[in-house]
Amino acid sequence: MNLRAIEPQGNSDGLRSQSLGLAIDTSSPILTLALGSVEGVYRDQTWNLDREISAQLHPLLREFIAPQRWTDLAWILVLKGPGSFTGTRIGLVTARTLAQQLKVPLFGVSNLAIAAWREAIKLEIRDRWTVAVSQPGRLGYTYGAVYEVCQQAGTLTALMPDQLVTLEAWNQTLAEVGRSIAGRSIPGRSIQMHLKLDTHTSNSLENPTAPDLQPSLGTTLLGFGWQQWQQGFRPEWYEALPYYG
Amino acid sequence: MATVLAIETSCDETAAAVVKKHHIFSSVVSSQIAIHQPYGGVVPEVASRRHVETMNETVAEAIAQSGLGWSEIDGVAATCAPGLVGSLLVGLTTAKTLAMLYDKPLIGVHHLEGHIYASYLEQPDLAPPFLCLLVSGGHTSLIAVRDCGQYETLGQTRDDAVGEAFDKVARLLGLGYPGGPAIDRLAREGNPQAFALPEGNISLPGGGYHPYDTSFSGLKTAVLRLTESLKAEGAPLPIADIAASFQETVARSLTRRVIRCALDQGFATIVVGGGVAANGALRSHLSAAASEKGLRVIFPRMDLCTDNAAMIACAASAHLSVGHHSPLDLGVKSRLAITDVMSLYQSGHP
Repeated sequence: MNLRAIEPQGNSDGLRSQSLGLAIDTSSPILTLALGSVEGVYRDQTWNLDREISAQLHPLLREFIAPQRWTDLAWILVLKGPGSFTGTRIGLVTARTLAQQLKVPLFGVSNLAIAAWREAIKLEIRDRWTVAVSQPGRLGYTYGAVYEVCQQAGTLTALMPDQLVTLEAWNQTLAEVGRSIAGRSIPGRSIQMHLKLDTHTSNSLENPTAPDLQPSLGTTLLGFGWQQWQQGFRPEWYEALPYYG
Repeated sequence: MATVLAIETSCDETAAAVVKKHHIFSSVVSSQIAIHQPYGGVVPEVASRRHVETMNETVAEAIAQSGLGWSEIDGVAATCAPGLVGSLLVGLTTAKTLAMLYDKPLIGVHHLEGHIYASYLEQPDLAPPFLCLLVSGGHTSLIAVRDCGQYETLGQTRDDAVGEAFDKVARLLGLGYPGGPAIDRLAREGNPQAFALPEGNISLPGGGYHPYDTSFSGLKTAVLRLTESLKAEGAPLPIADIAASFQETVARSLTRRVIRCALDQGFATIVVGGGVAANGALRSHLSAAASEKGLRVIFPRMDLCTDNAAMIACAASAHLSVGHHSPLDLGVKSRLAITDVMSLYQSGHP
């Protein structure tokens, strides 16, 4: 699903209740908020807050949500890492509390998974596509995962879930995974791309694309959230926890 | 008086409570002690992670137990200083989210002010001015309480907090964590006069000693040397006698200072706050000495001595009732003097 930017229809009084999705990312120094319906993105904004993210998140979120109401939300999506431990926790705590109180589903999504999804959109790959994603961790460790993305079917499957491994172990995995994934032989599922992410922004280090050609993170999160929603996924708020490795 | 939902996560307890002035509607504490016990102390990152997992259930339980709805809650509070930054952030972020969602004022609370307000919950007729002896794992202070938010620090530890000294000595004696309750239990079986230990006086440049400041690192070292010398003799270590002697020295040292301070400064009432206020020897020493001098002494009940959110809610209720509230961009601080507590507030409409 590739959402387009649209104008909200009037103020909140004119909107159907629980018709909006809210996406939050605090896992890096850049705060991302996005709000939209299944028809498109209402607002999608980023702020480079560095260490001020804990102080500024709530004033910005309160301003961002208006004139829509909290009760207009049908679901919330939050990135659960890997990322800054403290930053990720702040987003998760906020999203869990909102989802619990509003009694709406909460999608806790891996940063690596969403990077794979976003890359598929960027490269306009509609069919089944297998991508390895890695991001530097601490002390020489690397976060790594292998995902299968299918834009056409709207599916994102972890062939090898997120894990924190040594760089050596990750390279070994990449070498072996062409023949099998996580020990299972899967014909035709050799890795088609290795996506290496920046530590702080979850942006691709390789295959840089001009900013105007790649979907924004907020738009990507909203699109993914609506895909999950339309496929009937309704995760509870307590299922979303930070991923530390 | 305002009804407040408060959250406390300054260290290793996840707590939530609903309080109106001095009346506790609910108080829920989810303890992490068992999680940190294998490490012999609180591991900050582990504490932060656990707070995330337990916070929402704890808050939900506090609201459910209170029997109140959101329309009956006037404000949302959280401890914002001093404490472990990662832990404080989880509690404050939750409180900010609830305040934002329900359009309620946010009240950031100084943890030590919470311990002072625990005495109001114990004795609703308590009114300032009074002297507070604050003794916990992170703090040892003598505070003059003039009014809501009006404090003066008259004495404090120069090194270890008294609760920290209990933990360290308990570790020396192989008693595990937390050390305070373990030493208190064992001391009942020992002779408090068995070993003479130093009280830790603070010398002044012009001669003499500081009348109210304390030091516990010397006492801890003295216990270490004592155990080493007893071990060298080859006899079984008289752990109960050492625990009793250590506890006796601490209780005597604190009692002497707090009584002198109350008499010097003209306070008729002494309140004791913090986890070490649960210590049996301190309670008996201070009660006897205060009685002898005609002073009133108030010890909160045990569950109000250790970290809890009822005391935070009580302090927040007092602040909110006089128009104090905090901005939504309030941050957390690992350290903040209690004399700077009013820096957390602004007046007028939130």
